[in-house]
Amino acid sequence: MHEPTPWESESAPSRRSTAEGDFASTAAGDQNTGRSAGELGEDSLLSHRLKLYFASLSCLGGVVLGSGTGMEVLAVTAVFFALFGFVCVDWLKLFALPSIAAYTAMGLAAIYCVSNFIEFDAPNTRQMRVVAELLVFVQAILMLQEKTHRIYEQLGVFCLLQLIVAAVFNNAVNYGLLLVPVAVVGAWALSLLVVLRSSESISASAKESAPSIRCSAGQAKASLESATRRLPWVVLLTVGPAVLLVAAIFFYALPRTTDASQMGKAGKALVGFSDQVRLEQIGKMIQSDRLALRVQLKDNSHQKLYKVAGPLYLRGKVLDRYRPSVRDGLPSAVWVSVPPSDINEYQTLPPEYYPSRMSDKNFYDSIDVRVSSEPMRTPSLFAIAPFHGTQHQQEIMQATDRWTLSRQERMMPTLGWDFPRVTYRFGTHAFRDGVQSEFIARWSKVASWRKADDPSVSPQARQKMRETRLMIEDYNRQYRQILTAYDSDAVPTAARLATTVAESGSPGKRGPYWLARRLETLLRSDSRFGYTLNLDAEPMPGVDPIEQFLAHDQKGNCQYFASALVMMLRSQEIPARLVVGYKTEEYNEIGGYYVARQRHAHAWVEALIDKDDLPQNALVYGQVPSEQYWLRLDPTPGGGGTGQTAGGGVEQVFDLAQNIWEDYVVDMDGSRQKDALLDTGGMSPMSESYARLINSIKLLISRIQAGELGGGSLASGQLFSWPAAMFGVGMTLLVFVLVRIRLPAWIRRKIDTDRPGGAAQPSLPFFAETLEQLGRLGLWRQAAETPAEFTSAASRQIARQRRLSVAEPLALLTDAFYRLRFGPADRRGDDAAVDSLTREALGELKQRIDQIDHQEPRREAADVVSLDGLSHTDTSA
Amino acid sequence: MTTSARDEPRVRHRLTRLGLHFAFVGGFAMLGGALRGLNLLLVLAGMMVGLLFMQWRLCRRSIESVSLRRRVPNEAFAGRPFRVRFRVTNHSRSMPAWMLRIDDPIGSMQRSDRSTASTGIGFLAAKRTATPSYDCVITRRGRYRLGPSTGWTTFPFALAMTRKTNDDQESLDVYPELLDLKRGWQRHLLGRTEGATAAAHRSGANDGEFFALREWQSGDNLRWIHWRTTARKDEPMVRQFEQHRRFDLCLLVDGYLPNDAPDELAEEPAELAISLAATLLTRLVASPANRLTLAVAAQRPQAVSGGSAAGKRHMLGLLSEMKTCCEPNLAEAIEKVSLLFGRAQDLVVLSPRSLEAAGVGRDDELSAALHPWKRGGRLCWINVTDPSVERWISLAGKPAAVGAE
Repeated sequence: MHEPTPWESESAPSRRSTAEGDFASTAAGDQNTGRSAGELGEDSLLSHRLKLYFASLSCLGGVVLGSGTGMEVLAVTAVFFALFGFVCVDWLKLFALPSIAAYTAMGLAAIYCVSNFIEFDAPNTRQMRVVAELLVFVQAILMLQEKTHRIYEQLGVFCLLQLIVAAVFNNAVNYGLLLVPVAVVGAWALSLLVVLRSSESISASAKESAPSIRCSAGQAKASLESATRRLPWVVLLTVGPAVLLVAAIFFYALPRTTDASQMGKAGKALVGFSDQVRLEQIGKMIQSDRLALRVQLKDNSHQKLYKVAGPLYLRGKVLDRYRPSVRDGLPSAVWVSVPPSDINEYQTLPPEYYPSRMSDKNFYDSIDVRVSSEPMRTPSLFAIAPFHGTQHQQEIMQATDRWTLSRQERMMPTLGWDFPRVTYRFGTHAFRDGVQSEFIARWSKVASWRKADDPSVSPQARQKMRETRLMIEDYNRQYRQILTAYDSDAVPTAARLATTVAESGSPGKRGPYWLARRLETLLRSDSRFGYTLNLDAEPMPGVDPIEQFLAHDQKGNCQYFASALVMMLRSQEIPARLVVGYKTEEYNEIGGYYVARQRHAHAWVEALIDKDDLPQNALVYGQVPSEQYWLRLDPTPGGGGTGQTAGGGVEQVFDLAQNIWEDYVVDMDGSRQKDALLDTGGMSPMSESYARLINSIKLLISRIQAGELGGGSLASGQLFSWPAAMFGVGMTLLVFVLVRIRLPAWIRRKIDTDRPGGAAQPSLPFFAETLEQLGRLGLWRQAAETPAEFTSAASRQIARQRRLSVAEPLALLTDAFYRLRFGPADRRGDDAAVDSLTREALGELKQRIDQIDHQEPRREAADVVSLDGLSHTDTSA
Repeated sequence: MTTSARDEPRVRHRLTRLGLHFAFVGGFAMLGGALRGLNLLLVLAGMMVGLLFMQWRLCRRSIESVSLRRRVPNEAFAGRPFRVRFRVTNHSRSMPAWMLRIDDPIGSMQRSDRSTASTGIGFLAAKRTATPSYDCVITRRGRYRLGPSTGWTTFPFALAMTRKTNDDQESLDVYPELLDLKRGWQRHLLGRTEGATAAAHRSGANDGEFFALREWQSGDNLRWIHWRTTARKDEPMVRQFEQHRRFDLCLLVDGYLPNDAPDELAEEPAELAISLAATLLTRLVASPANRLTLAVAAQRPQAVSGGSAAGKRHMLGLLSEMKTCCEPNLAEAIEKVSLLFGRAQDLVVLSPRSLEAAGVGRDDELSAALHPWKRGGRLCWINVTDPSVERWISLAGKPAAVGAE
């Protein structure tokens, strides 16, 4: 009969059973050499989570690709296959696509997509769509396969490629918002791939073993897989912020040599205002709720946000000519802008006007305007007249007598692309106490020809000025003809109504200003006329649309009212033109800016009034003195579409997020980078934000110092404050919730292991080892406990909780410790005998604690802190 | 077990397959973003850079702050699991180590058998030590080389792997497989050595160590009656004693391998003889009263003696490294034993062949060498291919060994 060797006798029962179990599982693994990672970890937490995370990644990748790019079908396809694959293949295991079938399907998908690809001659967004389709198809096929390590990796890479393609298509804030869950789930998935890779190859190496050498590490695998629960969170909460920091530094510090731009956005750019605007065009624009502009006003003198008392008019295009036409056999009309001539060609913005009398500054506010315009199909930009240039580098031009802005030529898009998003700045003196001025000087620049008679100017210069003056006078004459062109036969009602109004006033009052105001009031207030967005009015054959509006329908949108007023003014020989743009009152309180949407598109009228005809109280300060002024007239009843209030809080937050996203991500280019990173005292957004934050903190500190916290109640000596009380209760609840939340196991373990700091370590090594062995079970001696108290309590606790007695060796060790440490020298006994005794007892204790450890296979290796020279195998020596 | 000199560990860093994909896609995004001014591509490129940078940093830091030390068992027997432990210490002040894997190559120094054992730790807190281990079963005796061990991790994103290879090669003697000896093996050992009484001395005048109680049988000495139990059970019960015998033996292992050995199957009888020798040796050395000498007749005949733990290891090591051959020189081995330790001990020959097949009678030298023991009846020749060997051991699972002759 074979008797166990000492080595076996100590460790054989537990070790052999464990080892044989491990080898059995290893052998099973050997027989399944071709099995997948999922099968190896059959039904394990790791396997389930990996499948879930990668299915989620597939879903999110498809959603990112589909959202905001007009490819919603692709998003639906990706989500469907991700869910279908997860449920039917990963979860229920109903089927799985074999590799050969998957490769065939991928090949077919590639052929299908490439055949579409080569149909396009020029590079455009459709080719990117084809690429997107290919990505989604291949990802769908991958989801139908049995998941292996390689499949997981491919799913991750395809999700990344989807993000890349989506980044080309979609630069809206929803991309950034979707990037958050993608990043979170992606970090989880990648961290679990670490677990899979580490634990998977333990089996893999065993498979490669020679037949005579078999190895297993069941506990190690359990230890590695036990990280499945907390590793994703650790990675997300500790490594994630670091990754974001590096990414932010990279993004903002990367030298940029090109302007920020965007590809594609086909079908997504706004219509904008071109040189021709059809009568029904604004009516159609108003149907849309899409965001077009964000306008931030800032008072230059106080560096504070500036709010307007009434609506804010943003002029986009000036339309001079009314041109009736026939469309589909029915009468229609187009307002056309006269192209710029040598006189009023596009120029840089005029410098800020400084009045000769300082007191004039009391009659206008100097406002800095920052406009962020969405991508549009036309180059025209939007302005608040009168405007002037600022210190910031400008890439916009102005038409001097139109007071309109446009992009520079180098901002023009290449063929096939829309005009990208742009943010620009200018200054304006158009406001006084929040009211936008209704007068604009005739020209935006000082007319140098006025000095043609100045004797101090050289004769050559005077001659040139005279020629310029002649040219301008000629231009004015021609332009006046255009602005007073009126077909009395086509629109007789306009003249009739205007004449009636003109004749109603007393002769002394019948100036152009008075008449213009009366005509505006007529259209605006007369009950016969009404505002409607209904565009289904049937055009009357042979009748001019304006005439039909004035004489028959008397209902229409702002463009009809403005057109009618222009006709009425022109019938009275008052030069007038149509202005189209946005009129908004929607203010984002959170972001501190005005929002102009398509529904805020508006048309109004400008009448040219001589300076002498202006009323005495007309405020024309802050702009170049002029002989003539443009008078803004808005004849639309009820203010047009601006009556709609601003969006709710959620919408405002979303708008703000979009704004920040565009400011700091999408539109980041060299100049903005310089502004954001290098400038410290300028108007750059980032330094502005920092300054605002610091100011807020300073304000808060000063308020605290002044005792104003709690709504000022503390300052007055009142000891109770409702806000402070609510804050206190809220904080208490928060603390309570935090305390109630169960701490993660690793934190608890850390706390547990740190606990025995107060108790001194025993001086005798064998008893120190004894305590350390007990520490493996989470039992630590407190500072107030004697060794005997501790060991007896520990043996009782182990017997009660683990159902295994360690009392005997523990008592022996404790006794030996007391005898050696505190006993008289003559009773300590033979050193060798005591040494042998304690070693045996310690070995016995360790063996029993090992048994307890084996009863908890999921306990991590990190906890099994054992001592050198005390392992099972060594004790035999 | 011997250990080679330790040098500084080598740390290597490389991207994984997934990391290469990420780097490629990140590079594409960076290029596209920079050339076309597409900021979102640069955002993605930045995230890729962040991922790869943090991967590199944490991966490298984790491995660099961790030290590995292998602890191999003092003895390992073929066919029996043994555990190899690693002492892994995280020297970092604050950073824990995650998902640490250890690969440890194991290879035979005589044959081409190779494998890689692996173990790992999911989490190791800063300033902590853990002892991960792996279990190993080696079915063939011999000397094996362990190492160099490699610690690696792909924490936190599996995009790169940092490996630290320690120069910690160690050799491990895997002793022959231990067999299950049948009951009464000591009696057989005594019986077969015809002069057993001379070899197995009573260890003293007493009756031996108390072993158990049994019913009284005719012939039992009255002194052995256990009166208290007899009173309780109301029938005579006697004490059984385990007799302490002192064996003074020389085990001679015949490392004979047939010349035309086609495969490993032919090695089985010799291996069985070696295993039986190791088993007897292990059991006999356990009692300090016994005196044992081991001689091997193999490619290089050797003889050693010893009763201590070190001597036992020495003898087992000799068996583990013993190389069988077609013409083992039994006579020379016996001669060595005689020269070194005399001829007082009984001789037990463990052979894969019979006495006659070994050439006794034909080979004058061998006959002469064995003559003193034969003459004294102190020779025990155990032919492991003979069915009678089942009196010693259970041959279940070893059919090839028996009847090979």
